[in-house]
Amino acid sequence: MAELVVSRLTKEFGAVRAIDGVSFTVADGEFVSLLGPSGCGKSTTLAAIAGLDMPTAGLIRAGQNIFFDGESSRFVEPEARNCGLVFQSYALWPHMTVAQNVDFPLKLRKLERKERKRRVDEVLALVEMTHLADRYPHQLSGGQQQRVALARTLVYRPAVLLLDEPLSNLDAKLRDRARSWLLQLKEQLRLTTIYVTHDQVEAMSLSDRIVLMDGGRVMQIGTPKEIYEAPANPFVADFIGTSSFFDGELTSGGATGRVRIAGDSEIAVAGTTRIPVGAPVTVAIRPDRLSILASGAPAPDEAGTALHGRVVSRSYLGGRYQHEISIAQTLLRIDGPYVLEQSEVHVWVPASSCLVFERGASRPRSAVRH
Amino acid sequence: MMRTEADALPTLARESTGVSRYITRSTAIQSAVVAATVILVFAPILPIFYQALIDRPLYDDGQQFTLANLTDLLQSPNFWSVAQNTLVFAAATTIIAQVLGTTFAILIGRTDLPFKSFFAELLIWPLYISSLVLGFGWFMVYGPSGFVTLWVQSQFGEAPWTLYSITGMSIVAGISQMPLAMLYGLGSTALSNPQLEDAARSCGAGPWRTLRSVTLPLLMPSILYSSLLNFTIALEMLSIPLIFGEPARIGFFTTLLYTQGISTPKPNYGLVAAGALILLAIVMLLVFLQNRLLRNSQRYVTVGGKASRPKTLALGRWRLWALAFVSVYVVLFVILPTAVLFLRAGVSFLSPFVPFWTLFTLSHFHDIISFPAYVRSIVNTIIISVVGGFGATFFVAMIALVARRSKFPAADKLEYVAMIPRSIPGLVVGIGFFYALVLLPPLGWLRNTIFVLMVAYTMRYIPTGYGAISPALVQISTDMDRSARTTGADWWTTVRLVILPLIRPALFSSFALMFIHFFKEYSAAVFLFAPGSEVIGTTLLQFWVAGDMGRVAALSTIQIAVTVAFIYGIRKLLGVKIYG
Amino acid sequence: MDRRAFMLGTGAAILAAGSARAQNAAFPGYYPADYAKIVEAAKKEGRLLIYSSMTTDQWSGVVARFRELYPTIRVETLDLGTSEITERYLAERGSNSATADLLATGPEGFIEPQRRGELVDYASPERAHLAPWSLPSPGLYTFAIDPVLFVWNKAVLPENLVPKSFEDFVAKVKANPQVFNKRITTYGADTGAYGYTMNYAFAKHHGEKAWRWYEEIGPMTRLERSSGPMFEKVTTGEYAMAYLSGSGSPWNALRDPARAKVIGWSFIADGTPMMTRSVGVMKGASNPNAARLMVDVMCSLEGQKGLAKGQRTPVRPDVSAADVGGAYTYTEVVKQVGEANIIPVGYDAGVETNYNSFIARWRKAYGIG
Repeated sequence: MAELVVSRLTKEFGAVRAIDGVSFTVADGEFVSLLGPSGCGKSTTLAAIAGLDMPTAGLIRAGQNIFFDGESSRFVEPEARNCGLVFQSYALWPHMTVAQNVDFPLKLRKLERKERKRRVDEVLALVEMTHLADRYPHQLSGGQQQRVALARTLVYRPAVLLLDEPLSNLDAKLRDRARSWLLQLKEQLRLTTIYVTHDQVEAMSLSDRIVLMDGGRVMQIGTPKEIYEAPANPFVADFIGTSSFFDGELTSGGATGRVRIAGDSEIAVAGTTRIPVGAPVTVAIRPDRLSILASGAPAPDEAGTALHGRVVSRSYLGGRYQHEISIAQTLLRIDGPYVLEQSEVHVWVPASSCLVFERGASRPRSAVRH
Repeated sequence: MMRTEADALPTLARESTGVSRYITRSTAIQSAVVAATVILVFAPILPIFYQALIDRPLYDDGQQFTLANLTDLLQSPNFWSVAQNTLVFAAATTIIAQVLGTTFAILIGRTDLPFKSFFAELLIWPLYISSLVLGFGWFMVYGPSGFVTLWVQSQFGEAPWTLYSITGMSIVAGISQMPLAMLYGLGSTALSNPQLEDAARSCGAGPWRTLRSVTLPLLMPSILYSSLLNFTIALEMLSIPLIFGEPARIGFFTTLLYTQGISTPKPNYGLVAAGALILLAIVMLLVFLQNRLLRNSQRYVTVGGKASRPKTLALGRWRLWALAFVSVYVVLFVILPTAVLFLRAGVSFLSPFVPFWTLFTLSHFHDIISFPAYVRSIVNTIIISVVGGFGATFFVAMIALVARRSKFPAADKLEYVAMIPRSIPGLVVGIGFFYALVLLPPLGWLRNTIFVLMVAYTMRYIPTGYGAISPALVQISTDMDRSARTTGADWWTTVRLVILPLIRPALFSSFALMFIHFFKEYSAAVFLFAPGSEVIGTTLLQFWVAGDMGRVAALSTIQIAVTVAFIYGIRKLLGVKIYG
Repeated sequence: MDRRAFMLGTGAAILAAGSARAQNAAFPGYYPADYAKIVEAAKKEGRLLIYSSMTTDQWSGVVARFRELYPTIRVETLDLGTSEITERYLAERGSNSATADLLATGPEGFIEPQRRGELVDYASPERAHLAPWSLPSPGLYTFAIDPVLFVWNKAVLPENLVPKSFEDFVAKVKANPQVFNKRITTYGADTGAYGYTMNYAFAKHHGEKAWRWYEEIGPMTRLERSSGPMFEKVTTGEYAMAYLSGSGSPWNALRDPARAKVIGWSFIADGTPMMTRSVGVMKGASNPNAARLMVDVMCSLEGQKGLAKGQRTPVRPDVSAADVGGAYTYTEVVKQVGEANIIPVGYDAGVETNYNSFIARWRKAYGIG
């Protein structure tokens, strides 16, 4: 099979630059997600890989096969790329039955009738749609249509499988089922796959690696763990983990540094070695490591800070409670098994859950503030 | 289990590099379509334009360039009042045709109206015969001595209408063009997505509100196309202005051109050509406006990738009212004018002063079948309509596909080229082709064959077919082609196996329209037919001019019978329904 | 394919039917001795193409006679509008394309071809048997002359209002607007050669009187362009009466006795225009010999009888009413109306030069625009 290389890919629509120098590589058999908010350029990138849009500049290569090269103006038509693209809309042809839809790519490849039948049966069995082979698309539910759409691309063993938000048209419950089914399929097939989504849960759970995009640029590339635990900038931290943010000034550096935030409080942070002391910084705090200190209880045996805050809201989520706590003009969300009766609390913020970014680079888009 | 070596599939070896990607099978087909369209449209038009700018007939020596033709036309007596009459007539005709056509399209295509397939068949009838003959039927029923007029007069003392007015003529023309709007509308309702209507219903909209706010706006592309066509057809319509306008001395642009440029002892084709230039300018402006209105064609996509089940709208308590409305319309405006035509074909003459049942005769039919030239005109017309109709539909579908569904450079300009023929009156198209053929010696052999009629008709009706196909294409999501392309189909395969099958109802509509128009066309044939290539239209015109109205009616009856039989038969054969 | 086979089929049938009698067709004594040469050359040409404004069945009588004589020559007639006959010929000629051998149309249709020298100066052996008036210029032969009539609906127009003459007609219209207003019709002079040349000749014949008449009845008249709707509307009673109407449709229709109960007609006693139709061999002819034969046939006694079958009124003085089954001949019309009241609508140089001024005055009189 093939690795897929995308290099300095740019696409302009008139004056608008929809993707701007995007580069990444997908190894043979690897499952990579293009993740980002809508309008970030992930679908445009996918269309460029599939050959549905002509990029403005850059290079796309699958193995030794150059799909697109802006310099030599080489452009391989979509039908010659042997990519399999599953559309968000599924794009099943309504005038063909399920079996005919799946058979279509095989007919194009001029396989013998018997062989085609074998492969269609095989792939329909794989997506558990054998019993509906003679139905027309409009007779199927959304989830069933999605499986047929996938079967139609799997049947011809594409060199690269491209999935464009395949789960977004499904309801929440079906989406969970489809996701675990996809995961199973991924393990079974090991196809080179690019998965476009705006849902970080899908990206996290399915991907070997994630390419996180915003505004037509790549923000970070890494495994789900790397991206979650070491986001390259506040945008990534925010998009992946719904962090809370404090602006402040680095007062001391080192393995455990300190940042002064509004209200003259200081918080202990980890990993500040590359930022000069005195620099303006943003601190991103992941909510899942925070805890409430019982009144008068000692601080835990780790680097961290106890911050005093006011409980602003309490909501029951079924089995647990979420509280919003206002600290130095910033809201922190904390989940816990018990409801907090008191109006003022101390929140323990471990230094290891505080990520520090030098300010001035990428700004978080949706940091929770008031 | 999926990935064993034995399973390796042949890769599609169609990749190409650099320059060579411009000469794939698909781009070759696209180029051929563009070239054929440009040649077909401009071959007859260039001689006409040239004629408009010179001071003597095209075939004479010593030509000088001049603007006199244009200025003569603009300064001809009554030009401005004639222009005003023409615009009022065209606008009124269009409004009547669109309102009725859209209403019927929705009633038949989207609701549970009873007997709708029966009505669908009948409502199209006025389109089957030329408006010349239909106008004849109308004055036999609603003219000053028409049956209905006389009956109303005997009951109420006076009949409160006259056909000899712009209003009366607009009604006749509007009703005769209504089927075009209806057929275009049906093409779109067949593709409409019931979920969109359901969504409106679930927001609390009643059925009428839903029709108005969802169904109707989604028909916009087809409504705009048929409005444009009906408007230009009314602009260049000659027959109804001649029948009803001339006796009442209401002048129109085409009667002015016809009178001063063609049917005079001193024909002046320069003037006619100048008139064609003016019409072309108007139509191009309208096409431009239409394209601006349809700019965001994404708004009209109803066939997305997600499939859904077709469903009709329940009219509820309005069902009987709708039935009554359609029934009355059909009886008054379809059955009566055609029935009187059938009756006229079967009697020696028709007059309120002699009971018609004493006058039955088959002599008109007998006269027609006993002259080989008349029989030949029927046979020729059938061949032209079937063969030419199929050819033209395929050709127009290809134009629409290249214009709307290819990355061919400047493909969008093709749509303008495709609309040009609509602005050239039929007689002028005939003259243009005539010139093109006599001026280009290699094409001389085409003259005097029915092939040249097929070509001229095809050119003339490109916009009619285009209007049936293009809105349907707009409604098919591009994901349909994109998914075919990524699974390995090139453009041409995608077109053949995915897009064309999806727009099958629109293709059938286009074929039916081509068939119907080819069957009744006469104006473009007047200059092109020859002994051996007579068609029904020219024979009908000869009978008309000679005053043989019995034969006009008999030949029209044959025309309707053959058209009904063919449209019905081909629909059965292809398994296409006219609605739903 | 089909069409070709179909045409060959009909051709063969005609051949078979005509051949037996035609072999020893003898020509009248006054035909030149070398006439057989023309016949031989024509047979080699094998076909003949005519542009005219007559329908196939109006041609059928004279064409049958032609086939009787020359069964191997295929005759094709193309029925065109009067202006298209000339324009099509000139355009084809101007571009050196194949075109018609004969034109058969009204005199105005030959003005332009004559100016361009497109007529062959053929001296037909039938010349001596034709009236001088029917030979307007060298090469041109008038083969039919059709009177123009009053035609009315008997149920609508009371007996006492039936006009005796045009003068009487104008007086009755003026006196009875409730009967006539918007219910009389005629051909517009500005909408075609037929109406124009007829009105031109009519006005020339009557002089200023004609213009006064036009001013009286013009505004009450509805104008028609062709005889189809005109005659049909008289039949239904929408029009009480048509003046200066063609004779072909009414005479043809009146063979039906039921229709004769509804329709009445008369010549116009104080001036009946008679429309002439002429035929000429054209320079552009591919079959000039066959064309000559046809001119001779059309001018012959038998040919004139054949034309009468298609409601063309014979011009040849020796055609009798008995020859044409009781229909009118030129001689018969003259007998009824009187030589002085015949207005021949023939070739007249003024027809062309006075067009614009005549039309302007006519439109004014009729209250148009």
